Formats: sequence, C-alpha cells, structure tokens
Amino acid sequence: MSEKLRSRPRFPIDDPRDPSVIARRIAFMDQRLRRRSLLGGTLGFAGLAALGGRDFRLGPADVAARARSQDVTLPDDAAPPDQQVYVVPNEPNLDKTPDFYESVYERLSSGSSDIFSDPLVRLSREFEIIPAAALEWSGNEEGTVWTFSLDPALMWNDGNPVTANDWVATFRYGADPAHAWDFTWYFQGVMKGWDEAIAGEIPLEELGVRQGADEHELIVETQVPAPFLPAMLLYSCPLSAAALEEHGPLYNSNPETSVTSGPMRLAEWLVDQRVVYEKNPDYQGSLQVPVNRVVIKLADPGTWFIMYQNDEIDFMDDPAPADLLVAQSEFPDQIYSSVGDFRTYYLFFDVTKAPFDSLEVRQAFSHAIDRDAIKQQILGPAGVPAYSWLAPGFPAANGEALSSIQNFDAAKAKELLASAGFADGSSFPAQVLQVRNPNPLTGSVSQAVAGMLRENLGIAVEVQDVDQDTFMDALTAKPTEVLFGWVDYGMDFLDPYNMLSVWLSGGRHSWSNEEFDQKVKDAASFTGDPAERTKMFQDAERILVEDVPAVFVFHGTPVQFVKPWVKGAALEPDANGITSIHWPGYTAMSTVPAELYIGADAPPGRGDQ
Amino acid sequence: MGVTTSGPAGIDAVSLASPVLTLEGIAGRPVSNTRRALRRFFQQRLAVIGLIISGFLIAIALFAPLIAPTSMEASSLMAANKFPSSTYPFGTDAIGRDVLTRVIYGTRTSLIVGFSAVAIACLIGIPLGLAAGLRGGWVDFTVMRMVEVMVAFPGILFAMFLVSITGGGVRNIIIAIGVTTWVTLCRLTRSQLLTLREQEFVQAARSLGVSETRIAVRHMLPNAMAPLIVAITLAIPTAIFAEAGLSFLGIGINEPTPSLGKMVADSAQYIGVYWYLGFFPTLAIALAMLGFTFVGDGLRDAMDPRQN
Repeated sequence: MSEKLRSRPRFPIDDPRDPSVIARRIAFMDQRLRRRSLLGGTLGFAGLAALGGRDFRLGPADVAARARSQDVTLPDDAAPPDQQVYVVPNEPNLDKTPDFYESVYERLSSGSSDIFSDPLVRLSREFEIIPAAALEWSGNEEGTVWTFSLDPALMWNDGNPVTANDWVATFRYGADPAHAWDFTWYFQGVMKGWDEAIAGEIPLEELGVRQGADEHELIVETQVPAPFLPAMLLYSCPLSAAALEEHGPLYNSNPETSVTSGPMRLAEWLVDQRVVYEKNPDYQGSLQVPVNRVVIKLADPGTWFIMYQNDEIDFMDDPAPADLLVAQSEFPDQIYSSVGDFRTYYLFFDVTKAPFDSLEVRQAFSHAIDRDAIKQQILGPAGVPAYSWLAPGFPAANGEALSSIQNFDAAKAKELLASAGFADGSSFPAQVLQVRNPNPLTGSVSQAVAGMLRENLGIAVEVQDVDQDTFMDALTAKPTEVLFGWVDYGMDFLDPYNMLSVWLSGGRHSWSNEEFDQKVKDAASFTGDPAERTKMFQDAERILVEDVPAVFVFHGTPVQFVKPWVKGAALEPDANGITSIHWPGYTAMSTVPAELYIGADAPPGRGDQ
Repeated sequence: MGVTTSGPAGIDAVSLASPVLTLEGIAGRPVSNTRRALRRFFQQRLAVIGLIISGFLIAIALFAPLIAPTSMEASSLMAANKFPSSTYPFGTDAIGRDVLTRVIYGTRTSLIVGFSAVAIACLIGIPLGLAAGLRGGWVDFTVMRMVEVMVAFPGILFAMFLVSITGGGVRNIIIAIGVTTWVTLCRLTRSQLLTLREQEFVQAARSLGVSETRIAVRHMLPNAMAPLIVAITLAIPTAIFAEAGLSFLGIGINEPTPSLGKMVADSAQYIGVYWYLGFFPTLAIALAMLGFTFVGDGLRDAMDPRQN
C-alpha cells in the first residue's frame, strides 16, 4: 500500500466545529511552523523551502527507484477501479479553461483544476512546500538567481519530454501583453523583467526565466532578494510549449487537442454541463492517484446542496447558512471546518477622498461593527471575528495583540465621528457600500455590517452588489473608483509577505504608507533570525491595523461537506488535528489527489449523467 | 296602481307603456357611455374583487410609514431568523429585519415602479402613436421602424442592459422598464387612429377647418380611450412583474430599500427551513398582479362596444 495512504495516529476526538477547538489547533499549527523554521535554518519558513526543499524522505537513488506505475494498490475498503469516480461541482460561468496560466479567475478552480501538469513545488497536508516537478532547488547568495533541477522522467502524453522550455514558454505567455493574463500582478516586483515585459517595454525573450545547464534545469531570476520565490512557485503548472505553439493557449479545453503530463487527462468537455478527467496512464510524476475518473459538474452554487443531498456530488464547500442548518441536523459527521486559504473579509476605504481621508472617520467605522454578533447569528462555523489582517494560524499572525485596536465600542465610534466634524450621522454623506460578488454568507454579513453602521453611527448606507469583473476593474483602476467597498483576500503562498503585500503602495487599494512599505520589504528579504523576521512583519501589520484603511470583519473557516465514502489520508486529522480537504484541493498543486480514494459504499453510477 | 303623471323627470304612462325600458327612459335624459361602462364594470364580480385588492394595496403603499411596525432599515441581529409570532407577524430575516415591514415597503416600491414606468410608457408611446397615426408618411414609417427595433429586443434583457449602464436605483429601473413597454401603447394608439381617421365626424371637423392637432386631441383621442385605458391598466402588472424579475436577478434596487423580487430571490435558499421568507413577498407580488389584471379585464369587458 502506498505510504501516503497509511493511517495516521488519531488525536482525541474534538468537535471540529467548535471555534475554541479550531483556535487551539490553529495556534498549535502556528507554533509547529515556527519550530520547523528553527530546524530548517536561518531563513525561516520560506527559507526552509528556499534552502533547497529537498524531500527529506527520499535520497537521489530513491527517486530513480520510485514506482512510476499508475497501478496504485487500492485499500481493502475501496471501490473497484471502474467505480473510482470522484464527482465535484463547479460554477458554470467560470469554466473557460483548466489552466492557471491561461486565466486564474475563469478556471475550474472550485472543482478541480491545475492537474494537467506538475508544478515545480506542491503543498503537503501540513502546508509544507515539497518537491513536485522540481526535485531540488537552490538560490545564490543574494537570493536573486534560483536554479531548479527538473525531474527528467516527466513526459507529456504526446511523446515530448517535459523540459525547462515548457516553463519558459509558459511564463512568457503569462507576461505577454497580448494575452492580458488576469494574474500579472503576482510576479510584479519579483521576477526580473516581468514589469517591463507586461508593459510591452521589453521583448518576452528578456524575461528572467531561462533554461539552465541543460533542458532539465530551469533558472528564475528575481529583481530583489526573494527567499519566498520557491513558495510562490506553487503556482507553476506549465503549459506544453509544443501544444501552445500548435493549437494555441486553449488547447486544454478540447479533448482532441489536450496534452497532459499530470496525473489526469481530459476525457470530455461539455460546455456548461460537465468536464471529465480520466487517469493519465503515461503519468511519470510522483503522485500515486487512486481515483480513475474525476467528473466536474457545472451547476449554479445555489443547487449544489440539493445535488449533495441526492448523492449526485461527493463534495461541496461554502454552503449557504440555511443549508448548514439542515446539514447540522441531518448529517453532522459530514461537516468539516477548514482554515481554507486564511481568507480575511473586510470593509475598505479610498483614503484619498473625503470623508475617508480622515483617520477619525475610519476609526469610528472600525468601532461600530459588532463582530461577535455577526459570528453568532450569521457566520456560525464558517468564520471567526477578525480585528487584524493575518488570520489565526498564518505565519506571523498576531490577532490577540492587535485585537483591541479595531474593537467594537459603539460609544467610542459615535465620539470619534463627532470629533471628525459630523455631530450626528445625518450630516455624514450617504454612502453606497459596493460588495464584490456576494454569496449568501457574505451578502448577509455585508448587509448586517451596513445595518450596524446605520444603527451605531446614524449614517445612511446603501448596499450595492457588484459582479466580480466590474468590481475589480473599478477597484484596480488608477485612481481607484471604489470609495467604500467590501472585499476579501486569501493567501497565495504561505509567507507573511504574500498577505501584507496586498497593502503595499501601488497595489489594489489606494492606501499608501512609506513606513509600512519599508518594513514589509525589509522583512521579506531578511535573512537573519526567523523570530526577528516575524517581529518585523508584525510591526508592519500593526501600522496597517492602526491606520484603518480597512475594517477587518471576519476570517473565513470554510465549511466543507464530504460524503462518507470519500476516504483516505486527506480526510484524516493532520498533525495539528485539522480535518478537511486542504487547500488548494484536488489539484496537482497539492498532495490531496494521492490521499483520496472512493470507498466501496459509494453509490454506483454517480458521475454518469 | 294609481300612477300619476308628474313633471318631465317622472315616470308616466307613456314611458311605462313603451316596450324598451332603458336607462334613458328611467332617468329621462341620455346616459353617457361612461355611466353605462361603469355599471357593467361593477356587475362583474372579479372586477370588483380586483378593485378591492388593488385599492387595498394602493392604500398600503400610500400609508406605509404609518402602518409598518418598524422603520424600513431597522435590523436587530439578535432577532434574526425568527418564525412568525405576535411581535413579528411575518417573522424576521437572516439579519433580523421584520418581514412584514419589508413586504409593506416592498409593495410600495413595486407599485411606485409599476405606475411610474407605465406613466413613462404612456408619455413616450401615446404621442408617438398619435403622430404616426395622424401624419402617416415618413413619420409613420420612422415610428414603425423604431417599434420594430424595440420589439426585436427581449424586454427583460434590454432592461438589464439599460440598468447595467446607468447603475441601479429606483429611478433608473423605472426609466428602463418604461422604455421597454411603450411599444404596445404606441401601436394601439396608432391603430385606433387609423380607424378613426376615416370616420365621418373627423372628416366633418377637417372640412370645417379644425387643425389636425385639435382633431387628434379633442375628437379622436377621447374615442380611442377605451382600449387605451385597458392596455394601460394591463401594463401595470407587467411592469410590476418586470421590476420583481429584475431585482430577482440581482439587478436594480439596492438595500436597504426592500424589493419584493429580491426578497423572493434571497429566500430561495431557506425554502425548506424558513418558508415565510419567500411566502409573503410572493403573495404580495401575486396579489398586486392579480388585482390589476382583474381590473383591466373588467374594464375591457365593460367598455367593449360590441356588447352594447
């Protein structure tokens, strides 16, 4: 039996929905991450990854000897191979492509995506960066040139080997101004030549990504010391250079032209109905995947719960509050609470325009929101109150210490508003709160927040729901067109630099603070004592919380429903006792596909229609 | 049987003896078509029911601030998701707002949008129809092409498009719905005018030198009113439903202004648990549409000249 499917020791059984249990487990995980960083060396968590994330369990010889066969031995209670079908739902209008480097926000991300090639590194269940397509990596002394040794055995199923050229072609495609990729901000200020390339100022050939000594060595150059680069390259599922040239970037939306080097291949793509993956028999990578078919049903999220109750899908997340109520009474043992991607939901202001250019006004708003009532009446197990930016469990999170700055205090809120020049709320200009793409949960919360502002400050607030594209266009316009909004952000890679960089000058919000910028950048490239690096990030976060460009309302602890016949190590408590299908889910960027199989008690024929 | 003859308005033996007992006979003077139509209207049970329902809803809309138990925006998070009770006759929603208050204000919004949108449709459609019917020629041609272009667009989609470029809000929704429903009124006015144009009394007026406009407004329009009134009355439920549909799709009216359509949309997920969240707004929309449709049907039956 594959090593990864062996059971792990169980922890004492806690109610996974209890917030204090979650908090304790998160704190434990945070502690564990810090311990790891001391073991790993001087550069901290990101540094461990940077030092050459070697898989400590395997030596070079073991890599060669590792079974390449995809004939995974199934456990005794598994369904037979032809019944190894995993059925998941996905929203129907975000199904343009399964590829990250084609479009991030329009891909099949809630179902299963990024599975047609192995990224350079992937995340384990313990949120560690482990080798994937890159067997080892290292950086030069300054941390500006990173060399990745690629697994020479990886093959595309059209017969071509996977080489450094595929990554070069992929990154160039991501930077191509003609492509207008929706994720170009990610490498801005990091990858060498990226900023100039996306503006069309230099040809794509001059991007800081190239082949190294041979075709199995990839070199990535950065503008600044970047110990966090390997962690960032979690997002590096390459496109096939050959297929890109022959069929264009949407080659994976059609089974005829689809090419894969990952554990799955594209079997069927019925637009707006379903997408089906089948196991790729030519896969040469390190994931031993038991499931033979993945069926992605494209359906409106409002219908997922009914589908789940009818056993038409095996998994769903982010249930509406009403569905959670039903689930808690009908099948409480199928409810899992996860840390998700450490997402924070918040109100924000355009601090360059009145009335939000006044610190007192912003402070008044921050004291007017009763997060505990929101948690109790609306969130339930789906979130915890937030008074700061970094969610509990995230590296450098400092929630406790910062919780008094934006605390709930209605009297203080009114005082501050008065001292800002608005004796009572009626003289305050009426506001329109623009909410990005609300789901039933965030819709209720944003309206409750607006109600609290009306009640506690006497301000007239209207709530306007705006769809994703329109909102983001208005937000990222320079100057920003959103005066008062509600939005959220979840981490992309596990380093405080990632979350805090959202608030750097020139980012998506209009707030700009030199001291903050300096502290964050210094900490990001700091190569000294990891505890000191954490403290530097925490000082920066304090500035952010105190200056109130945003009122932080809650951190998401997304609820998942998982059918009892979905089994494997993926569904067992991790070393910190958290049980859920960990972010990023069923993709090659995670070890989840190797840790999940379908039990014999699954109803047959689930994925057939 | 001592029937005595009396003055000119009295019933006399001659009238009694005449074979046809008409209103004119009893009243002693001609009865206008209006009186006749009203009488026929009130003879229909459904029409009266419709009138009562519509009147009731209009009264609710007018007196909303007086009869609603709480203010429109009031929400008390601790009272969220309560079933109907004496404190909250229709229950509370997910953030503690009283559903009865929201249904009352939502009805007000729906009626305001319904009436205003139809008013705009009249202001656009009837003059255009008049112009087309009277002038003929290139005016008629242009108006008819405009009508055909408008008919080619599905109404709801066009309204969605208009709202998305102008932003939401009650005023923009009214304009959007008005702009998509003037077509029926325009065509109706025009066809009525084309019929009336050939009547003798119009030709007589024309030969007397009366100006075209005066003929249109003073002579033809009153005769065309009957089907027009019916069409206008029946356009109101269409407009109400269009507003509910738009807010159901999430386009249009921002919170905290309640909108019946949005309440129905938000309640869909709770249908198995908190049924009252969807039931009462749906009932209100249904009553509004039913009431005005019955009145419109009743008016059509009452004013139908073939039934004279």
